[in-house]
Amino acid sequence: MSRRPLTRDEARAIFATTDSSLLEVIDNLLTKGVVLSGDVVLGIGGVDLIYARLSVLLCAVDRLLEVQGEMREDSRPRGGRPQGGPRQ
Amino acid sequence: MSDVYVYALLGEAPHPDAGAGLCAEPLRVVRVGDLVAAVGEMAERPPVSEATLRAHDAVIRRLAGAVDAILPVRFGSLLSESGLADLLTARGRELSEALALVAGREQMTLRLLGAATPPAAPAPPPDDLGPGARYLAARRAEWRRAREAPELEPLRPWLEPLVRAERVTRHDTPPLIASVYHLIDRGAGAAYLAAVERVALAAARVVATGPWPPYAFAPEALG
Repeated sequence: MSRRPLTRDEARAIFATTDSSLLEVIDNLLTKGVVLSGDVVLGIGGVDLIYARLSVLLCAVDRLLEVQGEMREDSRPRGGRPQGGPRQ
Repeated sequence: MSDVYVYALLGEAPHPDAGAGLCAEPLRVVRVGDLVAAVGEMAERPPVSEATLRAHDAVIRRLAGAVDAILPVRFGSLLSESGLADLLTARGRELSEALALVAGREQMTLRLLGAATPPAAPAPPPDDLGPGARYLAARRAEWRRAREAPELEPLRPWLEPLVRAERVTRHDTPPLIASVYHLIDRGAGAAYLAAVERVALAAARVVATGPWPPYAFAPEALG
């Protein structure tokens, strides 16, 4: 299945649903808060890095939705074992 | 002796105790001057995963509920206890001021979603400035624009009574165009969310989440 970027409506939907809590947790824990050690995982967040992480995550959620869609289709009456996919 | 994984700086030690950390290790407090750090002993930094991030977040939320003031520490801060003491000693005043700001408060987060709009052209600096001063004026204007959210103006009259401090981060690729972090009094989250719902913005759609521990109001550079 081809990858495509999220539309604005899809991105809004992701931010507006419970999935957004994971985005917020990631933004909070990886790019905010007191920095106490110089080699914090993933580096120190500047504006671009914060965006990059959220962007990457949006793409990951996008991929996850695709995989869930494939699984739903595969589990329809024509049978077949649902295909798992990478959970990013 | 193993290193300590630092979860948060606190205004006071939590009662009755700090509970367990993300690896189920018992938490304890380290006092350095007026500062209190909530730490757990850990041999190595936990891997980044949804499970560890959520576990870290759960610890922070529990601590936030047990104390009046908390400055969450970024995920992955593992260091020696003496290193922690040195850092807290060196930045004690800045951290104490930050703790005072967040005392009795919590964070709300707004994500502004929309089409990217080119920033308004900055006012040209006066001609009597030299090239160096003109450069610095342009840099200053750029710095200011990166910390402003003009899309929020229609909402500001409703939010101002609730907001005690603000941080803005602009993002340069839509649909996410800016993140705005507001510090509000604890317990005002419902009123804040109701205020956000009152006005539909023309320039962006707003998604509000919270309340969160005040992550965005912690000092940035202590490494």
